[in-house]
Amino acid sequence: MQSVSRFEANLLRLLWYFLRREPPERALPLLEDRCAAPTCLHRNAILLIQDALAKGCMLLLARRGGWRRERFLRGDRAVYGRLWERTPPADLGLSFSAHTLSFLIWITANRPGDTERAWRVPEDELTLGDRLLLYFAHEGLRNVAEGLGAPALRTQEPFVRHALCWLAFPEDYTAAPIGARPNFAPWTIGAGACMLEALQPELARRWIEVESNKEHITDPQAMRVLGLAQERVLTAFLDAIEQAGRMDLARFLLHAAAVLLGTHAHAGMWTARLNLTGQRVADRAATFQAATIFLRTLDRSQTWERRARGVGYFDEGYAASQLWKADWEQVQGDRLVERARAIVQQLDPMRQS
Amino acid sequence: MSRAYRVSVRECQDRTIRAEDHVSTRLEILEVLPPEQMAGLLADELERRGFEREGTRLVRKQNGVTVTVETTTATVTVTAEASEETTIQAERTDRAYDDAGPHAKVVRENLKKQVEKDIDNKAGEKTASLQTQVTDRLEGELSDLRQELDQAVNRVTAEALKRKAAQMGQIREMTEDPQAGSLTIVVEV
Repeated sequence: MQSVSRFEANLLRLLWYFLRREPPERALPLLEDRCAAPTCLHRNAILLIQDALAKGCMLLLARRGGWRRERFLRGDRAVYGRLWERTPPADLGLSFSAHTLSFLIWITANRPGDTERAWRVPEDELTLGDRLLLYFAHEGLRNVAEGLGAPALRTQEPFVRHALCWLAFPEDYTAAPIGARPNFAPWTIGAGACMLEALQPELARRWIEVESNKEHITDPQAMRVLGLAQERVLTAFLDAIEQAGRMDLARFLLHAAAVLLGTHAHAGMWTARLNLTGQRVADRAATFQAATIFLRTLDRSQTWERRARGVGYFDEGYAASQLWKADWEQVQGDRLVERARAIVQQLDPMRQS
Repeated sequence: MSRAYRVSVRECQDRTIRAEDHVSTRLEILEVLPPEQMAGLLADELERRGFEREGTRLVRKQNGVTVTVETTTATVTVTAEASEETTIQAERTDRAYDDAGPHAKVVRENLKKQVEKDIDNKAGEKTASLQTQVTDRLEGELSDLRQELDQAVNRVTAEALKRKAAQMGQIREMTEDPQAGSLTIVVEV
């Protein structure tokens, strides 16, 4: 049995909560409390933290989608299997820097919203392991710590540029500064791309949730800021994966669209409760544009599919093109785009007949 | 001891009230011919409908609404705006312990701030009222404009198809039914 100090025990409990091994009700009191951080941690605690990170992060990724047998690109060919079958486990290793430890110490000693002793680290200095832990931490904090200043964390480095957090939770980034841009570079290559593959089901579920909740939004301004946050992250994401030749990483968008755009999909599913009384036509149009940003993004996916049709067997990117075409056909992408356009057109004040 | 002196502040300001509304969309024009030729056909059709050329843009002002079509991108922007010169006045009254002394000065300054706020509020109400008129005017024009642009796009498409058919071969027969919106072209290739 290893013994740790009270502070270290709290730190470990919070870490286990972020890694989904502790329930929220045990984490909340720790997040509410403030305490003095020690000058250093004992070796026992470090070993336990290392163990939790090494096993916990990968276990979560495996549970959330890494176990699924799917096809994703590896170089210039599509490979089928579970995540650790598509990529050798040795290449899936994560490294954690001192920033992970400093974050865990800070979150144990302070409340998330503490600005006097804020935890700020440039996003570029983080390793992939750091980013993954921060993603799980963000998920955990948003569930229990909204009233403790968790939203303030998202407007500062590194969270404000954490692309995975932004992609999974666009509604948390409505207050992101105008110049902030999510950094997708780490997530489109190597182990980062593997993590995006594993999180596809979760990302699809989140986007279905965000789009479904639009039906309940009444304030046009709230709709506009949400739409803007979505547009910013989707534009950055699609640009990044197109540049990296990894359109397969956008598969979750197709799956979300397949669920949202069923036969009975209609404009009210996005705009039913909006209170537009007294709004200018320009503001109404901007609100509807924000509401339908996800639908309008499908046009770009269709452009990729059309382009993929023209890629020959000996051309570069043949495997990627074939994979995207297969994904598109599986969800009947053309039909989805047709329905999306019909809804967008319905909401266009100048709609053509 | 009750306050004995009545202090009044009245202010009158000339304000210019402005309101504006607009909406923009893209016309869906099939690229039957190369984009420059389609843009040219669109420009010709719109000129026939009373639009004036300003470079690559066609503009028409009617009933206080300006319609601008950028032919290179087929983007339509409809704008309505209005401005009004108006005089707004407001008055507030209160009581002070003295007539022209320090308390009256304080009361007068507070009243001045309240009067300025009242004028701002009244200006806001007038702006909102003018805005409603502008928005209603814009909406009133949109319905007819929609139909007109639909017709213009159909005519442009028909003309483009005729030219394309002529490029492909000899036109043997051409039947157009404006009521049904159909065009049949028989081409010998």
